[in-house]
Amino acid sequence: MNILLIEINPFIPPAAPISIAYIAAFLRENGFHVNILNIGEDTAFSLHLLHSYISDFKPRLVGFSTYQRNILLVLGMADYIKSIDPKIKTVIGGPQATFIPSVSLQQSRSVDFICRDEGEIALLKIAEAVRDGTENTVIPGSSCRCEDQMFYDGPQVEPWKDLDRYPSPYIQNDLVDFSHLEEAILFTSRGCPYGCIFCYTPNAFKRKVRFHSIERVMDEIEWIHQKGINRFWFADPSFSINIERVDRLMEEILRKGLKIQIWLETRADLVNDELLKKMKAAGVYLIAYGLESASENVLQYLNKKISLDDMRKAIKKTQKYGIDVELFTQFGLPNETFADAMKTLQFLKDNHIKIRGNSNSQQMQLYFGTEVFESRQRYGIHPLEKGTPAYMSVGKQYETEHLSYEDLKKISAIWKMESLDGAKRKVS
Amino acid sequence: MSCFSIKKLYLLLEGSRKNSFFEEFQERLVDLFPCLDIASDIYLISDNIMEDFHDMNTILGQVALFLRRHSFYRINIHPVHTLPPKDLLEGIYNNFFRSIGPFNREGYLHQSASRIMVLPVLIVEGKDDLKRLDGYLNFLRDRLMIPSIYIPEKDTTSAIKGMVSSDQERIYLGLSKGGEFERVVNTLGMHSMFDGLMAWTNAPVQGPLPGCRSLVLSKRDGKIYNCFRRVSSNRPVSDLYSVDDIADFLETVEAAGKKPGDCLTCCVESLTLMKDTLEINEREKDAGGIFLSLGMEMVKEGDYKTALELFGQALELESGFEDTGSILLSKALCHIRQNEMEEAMAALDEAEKQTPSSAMIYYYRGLCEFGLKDYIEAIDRFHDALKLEYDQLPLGDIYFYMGLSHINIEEYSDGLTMMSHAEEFVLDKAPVYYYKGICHLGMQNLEAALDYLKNALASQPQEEDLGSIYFHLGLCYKEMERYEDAITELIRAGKVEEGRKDVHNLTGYCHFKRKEYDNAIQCFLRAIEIDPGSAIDYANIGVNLKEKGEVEKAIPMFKKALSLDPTIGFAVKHLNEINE
Repeated sequence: MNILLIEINPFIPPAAPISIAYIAAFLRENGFHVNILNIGEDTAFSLHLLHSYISDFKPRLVGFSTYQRNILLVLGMADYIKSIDPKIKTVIGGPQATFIPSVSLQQSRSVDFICRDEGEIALLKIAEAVRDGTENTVIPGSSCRCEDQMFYDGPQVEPWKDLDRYPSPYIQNDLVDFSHLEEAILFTSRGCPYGCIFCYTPNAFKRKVRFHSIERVMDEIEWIHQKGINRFWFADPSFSINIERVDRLMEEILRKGLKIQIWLETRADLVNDELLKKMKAAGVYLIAYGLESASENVLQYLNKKISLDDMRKAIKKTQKYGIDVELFTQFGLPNETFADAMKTLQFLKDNHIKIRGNSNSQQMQLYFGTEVFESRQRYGIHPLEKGTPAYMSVGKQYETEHLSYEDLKKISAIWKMESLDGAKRKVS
Repeated sequence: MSCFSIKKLYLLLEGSRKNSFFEEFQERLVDLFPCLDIASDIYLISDNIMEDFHDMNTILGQVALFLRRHSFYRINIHPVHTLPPKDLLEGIYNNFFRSIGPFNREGYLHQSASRIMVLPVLIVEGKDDLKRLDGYLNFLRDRLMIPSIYIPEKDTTSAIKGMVSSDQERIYLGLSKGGEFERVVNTLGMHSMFDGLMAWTNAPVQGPLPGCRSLVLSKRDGKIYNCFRRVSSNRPVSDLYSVDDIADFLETVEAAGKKPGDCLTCCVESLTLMKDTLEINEREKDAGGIFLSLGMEMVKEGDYKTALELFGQALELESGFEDTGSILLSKALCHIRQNEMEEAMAALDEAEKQTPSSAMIYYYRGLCEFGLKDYIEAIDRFHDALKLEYDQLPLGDIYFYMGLSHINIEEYSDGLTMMSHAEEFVLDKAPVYYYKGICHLGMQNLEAALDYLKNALASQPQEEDLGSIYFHLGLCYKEMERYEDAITELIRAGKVEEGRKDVHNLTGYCHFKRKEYDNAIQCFLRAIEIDPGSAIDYANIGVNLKEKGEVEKAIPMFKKALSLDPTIGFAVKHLNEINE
């Protein structure tokens, strides 16, 4: 059975679609024939080409990586694909889909399944149901549109504890085109044990963390390195959650003598001198820490549990070892005043952080599944728009008790003015 | 089903003069929409918006309808026209604004840009236009229709500076000669090329160089151009009104597809012409980055001459650029590849001022010294580079060239050590195995040499290296006195690289050792054909003739050899023996 997975994001140039590549690798291992379509800003891709592709490949299931920004496009494309062959089933997954209210998609006939749990397992269950003709029943790990056109939630599926059981999207697969890749994205773990109120990860992963073995990570690094790629982007939410494990990983990179460059993000309280020294030696050139706000008034609401003092020390230590630092920050946070927002900007300047790339600030977004979205009233967030489609979360269309829409625009403009690169973030 | 897609569609509208055509034009145009990229631009170029308003409005309506049906599409509409009276412009654009209103609302509700944007380009023709321009611009800005300005003549340039209010608003200076439409299309096309290059330069995954994927349709005569540049050279690929249906049309356009090289040349030419425009738009720094990336692309293509020109442009545009050091390094590399070592050294001297004690500079200096055949200096510079332990140093290359330098001064043991280091880092192992074979041969470790040379052959060497590998295999066997095996390898060498004198010379020698004198003579004759001044091969023929007992024929051969090179001892010896 053929399955097509689509990443559509015509707002930015195409990047390696690593999340759906994981799912594709897993489905292939389970006997399905899977292709990926990766459509970015300048991808030569038209309606005619989409029609040709669907007519030639004849997928029975089409999956979409879905987030707030592309959901309108996803729904439109799903609709069009169904107009080519109404028998094709469609599924949406990704951060927007996990917690999207089923009822919001009731009217649109373009989506058949909503992936709710671990992508690999949920997609496999859906694919098997489509293959076996049992797709109109309740399917574990997802919400399924049944014959009465209502969505029904299946029971939760337990994700595999041993991440190594999921095949690598890189090794021995043709899912990633290495020919133009300058940097490879890797996940060495999934989940985060912390409970930051603005983040969807704690809810999605139940505050549990699972790891790939060091051997598996090294196999991937070496495989990719052999393809001529030297830059690695570790996309784990908190890379050094297990310091001893990261220490071993750095040791391995050093032992193998790999000359690579590594970008990673972690928490300021998860680094120490010894680790930083080893990271530098192993090729870590940049660490991004999540500061969010430099105001204690705000931090106390975020449940991030990192003090500004910890942050300053981590920055200083990191810089001392010759590793560049980026700070993730946000504005429009609960209890934040205009002066608080300016404190954050000043904090970056005081700590010699260049305001560019990921150190450009952004307004907090209220996504489905986050604590701040679920309890927005309690956090003093006032959504602005009543007519928003139900499949869209509040995003950044809100005011807070201390910041008006105009204030938020002003803060955004100030950051942009201070930015060295026109406020182009790499990670959202 | 066609497999090409259009990024930029330019429509040349020409007033009501040909309105009888419009219905047909419009039908064909709507048929083309499914070939547009899902994020694309349509330029509606008019010489008289009052006459073309109806056409523009109809097209806008059709685009809106298409977008409503396909919510994964985003299309920017650029009306391009001269300034009508202000009240007329307001009426026209209020009308447009109403058409796109629902999309603005949809964009707002989806926290995204509208899927249809109207981005006017106002043609400013003289001082009177300039005086009233501000009012027009503000009117458009208030309706979220980001305006840009096209100036056909340079003399109004200075007055225009500062009139744009954001980096999304552009000033287009007329860039080419020709009729008004051709100039506008060319100018917009070049700018669009620039934007494409910007995106390409900044992309996290830098794919192949983007072509502009433009299509130009002329309403007046139905001419279709598959590149904006073809308009001024009047080279249409088809005629909209003569093709039977859209499938035919698409096939014709596709068949007339451009070569990737055409786009690269066009990019370079466009950028060169845009110098003033970049200055007025304060985009020199962006252009510097593009020149650098294009230069690197040319390096990949092996076109070092053009790459050098591009690096020169990058340096000219951006003094104090944070990448100046790396541009100079790239420049040096191109000179090295062109064997211009003096120029390379000069570029490296400049680079050193930007980044003193740079490992990469030492590495390139090493390459220069190598190119100048000063192998001892080269080795020293490579050592300097290694001492700095710079992460990004291409260690494989450095060790390889250090090895080669040692081999060139016959330090085979050191050469071998360096090649072993290089082996750890390089992906293409064949050259390393080959030179390790050469080192062993130089040290008379013949079995080891044989093994490495065979490994080189088994490691998919470049075709141009095959001759040398076979030759040295032959040489190895010859040293081992396995002449038959040597001849087999040398014949292979001759097949892949027929014009090598040394191959024929060595084959001749092996035949001689096997007492196959006629074969030997044939080989030496071929060597002489390749190099008529080869004294040794005349002498070799003489020896073989003498062994055959054809002494009389041998004598002139020895004499000829000695006339070319009196120092050939064995020729003198044989000649003396014959005379005695």
